[in-house]
Amino acid sequence: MSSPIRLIVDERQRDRYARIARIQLSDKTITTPHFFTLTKKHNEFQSTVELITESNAPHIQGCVVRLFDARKMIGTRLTNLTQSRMDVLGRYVEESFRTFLKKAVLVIDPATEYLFYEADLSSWNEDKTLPKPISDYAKKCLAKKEQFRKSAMPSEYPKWKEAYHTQFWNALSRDAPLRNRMIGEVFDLGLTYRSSILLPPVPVIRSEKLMEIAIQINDVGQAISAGRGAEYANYFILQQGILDNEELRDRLVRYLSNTPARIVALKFKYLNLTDAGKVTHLSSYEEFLQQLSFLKEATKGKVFVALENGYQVFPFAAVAFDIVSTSMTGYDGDSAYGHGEYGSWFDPELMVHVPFEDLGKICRNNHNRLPCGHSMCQSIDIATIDADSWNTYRRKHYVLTMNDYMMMIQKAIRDRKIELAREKLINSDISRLKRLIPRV
Amino acid sequence: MVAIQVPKVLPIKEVISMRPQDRENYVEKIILNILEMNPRGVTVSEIVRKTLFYRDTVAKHLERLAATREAYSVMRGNVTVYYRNGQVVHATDVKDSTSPDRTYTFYKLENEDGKFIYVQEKELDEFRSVKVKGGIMIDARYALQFIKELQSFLLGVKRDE
Repeated sequence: MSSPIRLIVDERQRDRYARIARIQLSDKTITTPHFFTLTKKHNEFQSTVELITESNAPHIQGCVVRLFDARKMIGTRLTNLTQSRMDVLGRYVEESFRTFLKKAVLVIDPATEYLFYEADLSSWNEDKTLPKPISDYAKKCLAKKEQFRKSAMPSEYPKWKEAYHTQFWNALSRDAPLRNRMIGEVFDLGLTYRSSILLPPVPVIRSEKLMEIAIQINDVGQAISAGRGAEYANYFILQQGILDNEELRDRLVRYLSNTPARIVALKFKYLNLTDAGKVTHLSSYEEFLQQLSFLKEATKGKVFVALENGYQVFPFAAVAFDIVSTSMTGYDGDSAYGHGEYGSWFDPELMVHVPFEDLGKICRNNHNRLPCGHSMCQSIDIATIDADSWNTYRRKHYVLTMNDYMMMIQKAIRDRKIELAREKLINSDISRLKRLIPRV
Repeated sequence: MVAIQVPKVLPIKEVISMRPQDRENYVEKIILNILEMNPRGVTVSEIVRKTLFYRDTVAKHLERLAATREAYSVMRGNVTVYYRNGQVVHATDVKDSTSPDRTYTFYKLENEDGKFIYVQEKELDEFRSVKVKGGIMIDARYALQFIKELQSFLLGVKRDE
């Protein structure tokens, strides 16, 4: 009686390995398959707020924010909510954000893989509320990097970093008070920023030892989440290629089968199965997805979440996951790829990004309009649009397309024709991903 | 003596290493789970033996759970046996209009002593987690009479003001 029911999973329909479920997370209800938008920048977050509050897209009601971005993206806006300023139209400032909080399922991702990947290492230093072991680690790495650069041995830094990263997690694994305090602090921050799901801070799995540490943190994290106002999720961050290790993959599946946690979140770092070759790699994922879909069928009350999916969003949502997520640009990587002055446009039919330069030709063949059914897309004139408006538009278009995909999968399940999801992939530019969806 | 059922409990070293508030929440959750898993009741000693939690900690949590009416105790000779408080038949939330973070939940409960109306006071803490602050249980047969008495009390208070 004391702990209110925070998660209700009601499987509505199933077609072989795919399902439609109604998921109630605290006071919010979503229908699966569902897409959660990962927002990495302030303008992306604003676009997500607009999409969730203004569009009637039912399958994009979730948002993922990385912990080190949360203060500037959400924290300041939560503070604004305590004020009663009005804008020129007589609406309360942050009215849309208030609506967003009521409607959206927010997930604060500890994103501790960025202690290993260089891209956002400095972000850990910008927020003083972040757990001390993490910010101390980032500080030390940045100082060491500078030291190696000055001593004209920058190539030594990655080796030192790899060793130090392993050492950091090993030390945390042994030091229970420090580790448990850090987990508790991460949960507290998540709840401060209104996360509906609690994800523990885990290392990116690159070896069996790190897998062991991730399991240990997941077990302790579950205990520490007791009495908190959000549902706990088991969380594993998988380095690309790690699932090729069959033993490790089986261990992960075994753990997920026995864990009492009702939400399982898996993050696939820099995963791109669309590249030619990588046959073993694709087979590993094919097998892994099938193992997960069996598990999901056996434990209907569990919710499976895939974070940072890239182009794999569509097959992952069709086979094993209830919730899928990727960044607004469609690129989960941290490179500048697709971030030129005029970014690439996601083609709903080809299921890949098309460079802006190529759009002129495509539009000419389509009465100077983008080949997309969204009302927003119909009003775009690529000849006159400025770069900022274009980039905002194309990001929203990407998320709306994900909504279309989720609806497409839902309809296929309702009609008991989930094989149509496979057909969709066959007719796209990422047709090799069809292997991820079983034929029967 | 039949051994009591317990959920999977973390090693005591891990429990001790948690922050005090996290530890309290965890221990309380485990004790509630134990009460749920053992409808025939449990004693402090049985929980201590199975979980390795400190005796004082277990006793304190059981007393708190009994005080908030989430559990109830029965003296059997010189031993106190604790039970999870009944099965919820019906529940309704009522928001406190003077304080948005406070809610009263009305439950209709059934346990071996009969049917009860249970009013639980809940509050959101700083992390927006729901915490039980208190509770009162009234025998369902006496509930309407109780309301009448409460009403006449309130009218008396108002007159005095």
